[in-house]
Amino acid sequence: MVTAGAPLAQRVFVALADGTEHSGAALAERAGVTRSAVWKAIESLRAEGLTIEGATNRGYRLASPTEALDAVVLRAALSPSTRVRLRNLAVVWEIDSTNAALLASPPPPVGAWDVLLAENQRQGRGRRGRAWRASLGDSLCLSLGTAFEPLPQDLPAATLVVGVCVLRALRRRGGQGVALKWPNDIVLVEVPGSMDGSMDGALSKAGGILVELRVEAGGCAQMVVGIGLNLRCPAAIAQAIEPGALPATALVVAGVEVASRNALAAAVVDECVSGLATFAERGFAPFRDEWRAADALLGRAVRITTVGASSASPDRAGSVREGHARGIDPAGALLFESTDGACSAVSSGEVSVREQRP
Amino acid sequence: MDIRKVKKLIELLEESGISEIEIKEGEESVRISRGPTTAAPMTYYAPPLPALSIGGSAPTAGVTPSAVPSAAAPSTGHLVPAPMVGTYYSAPAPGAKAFVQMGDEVKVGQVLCIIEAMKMMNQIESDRAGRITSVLVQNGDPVEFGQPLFSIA
Repeated sequence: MVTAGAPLAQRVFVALADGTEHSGAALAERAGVTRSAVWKAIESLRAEGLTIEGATNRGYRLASPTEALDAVVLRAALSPSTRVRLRNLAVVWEIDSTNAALLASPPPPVGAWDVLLAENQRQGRGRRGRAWRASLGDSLCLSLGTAFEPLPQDLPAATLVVGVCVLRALRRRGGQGVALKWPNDIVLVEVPGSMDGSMDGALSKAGGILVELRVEAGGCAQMVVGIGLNLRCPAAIAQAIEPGALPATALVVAGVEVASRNALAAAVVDECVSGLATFAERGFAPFRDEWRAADALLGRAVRITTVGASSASPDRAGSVREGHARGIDPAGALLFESTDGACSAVSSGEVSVREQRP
Repeated sequence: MDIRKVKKLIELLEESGISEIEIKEGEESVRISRGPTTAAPMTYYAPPLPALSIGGSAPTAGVTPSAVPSAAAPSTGHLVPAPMVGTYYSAPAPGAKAFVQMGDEVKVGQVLCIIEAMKMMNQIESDRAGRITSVLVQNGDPVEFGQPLFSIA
């Protein structure tokens, strides 16, 4: 349900989402504005990257129909056990960052959750402030906020736990061949000509996770989990990915039912709320085997770059180490065997795949 | 160089207004500095191992560099420890302005830095109001659980 107070661009987007043709006059009447205001809204949606066919005198049609996010529909799709734990669930049209908004708001009571989704996230944050690019109608940007007291054991493994939760949700929605790249990427593994579940194929990125935490002096921790998923991936987005990073892909490729965005979002919220409750009680152990089974880096030649290299202190060179990924340790740290044979558990740094096998 | 001599130098430094002192004796040299802003509060130049044995019986030849700085840079005020193992970031994003700097007044609950592990970003809040009198780590440094990050007075 989109209220009359919602931005006009959102109301026009919701009206067009079904992919059928809507005349400018009908859109104007439905929104209670002039046709020229509708035209402006159409232009602003086009500027955001949405492909809208048509012109004022003919009618408008969204090139690729989508399902607009809707808090009422989403809430109805949640499991009853999630619904009772929800404090707030909101869908906003545009926002700088859903994570930042939840971090800035007072945390819910321990065990309760806030969920915030945005159609249009302007400054989605990847790790270390990198922009996360999302495309209108073709992605899912959501954040979940909660509070823990005491802190869960294996705290940093929260990122990995959320990865397992997202994977469960994607499987529930039909996804196959989705894997996890340590520590926080949702990836697809290309399996050329075989369906043997091999994890050797080239990797491409379909989403990411960013967990942020604020620990008060008293010991109560506010945790915000941000999840960004590419559902369909327009060429413009694929080209905008920075060099050296994994190529972008979209979950539609893995068979995820991306058309029902509210149902997919509900599945992700359900799995995260129940998964993180388990994490709070029992730590990373209940998730370890599932994570290992989805480890996209296992055995691959990787490069680990620590931040010093690119940080503001040029006098201190960051390190770049090459070797192989050997799975994760019980706490979720990456086991790394460097080319000289030394093994270590890595908990920080950028991990890149050195060679993509075809 | 005798450890007692090093201790004496530290005392001397503390009593005086001098911020840095460097002493050279033969092949060994020691530099002691205070002032929390300097990147390396103290550097101890040890000659290669064979040279260390020159003193023969000198039991202090094995002084580790880390043993001295704690004495050389006495931390006054309240220490903010790292709540977990991870990497220390002084700013919210690469190239962004640091959360806090030496000399800044901070409030309770103000974010001082981020400790990251496995891409979980942990915003560390100040549990004390006051002035940052020293920043004990550098951007990108790995930190241990409990390692002091700041002192606040």
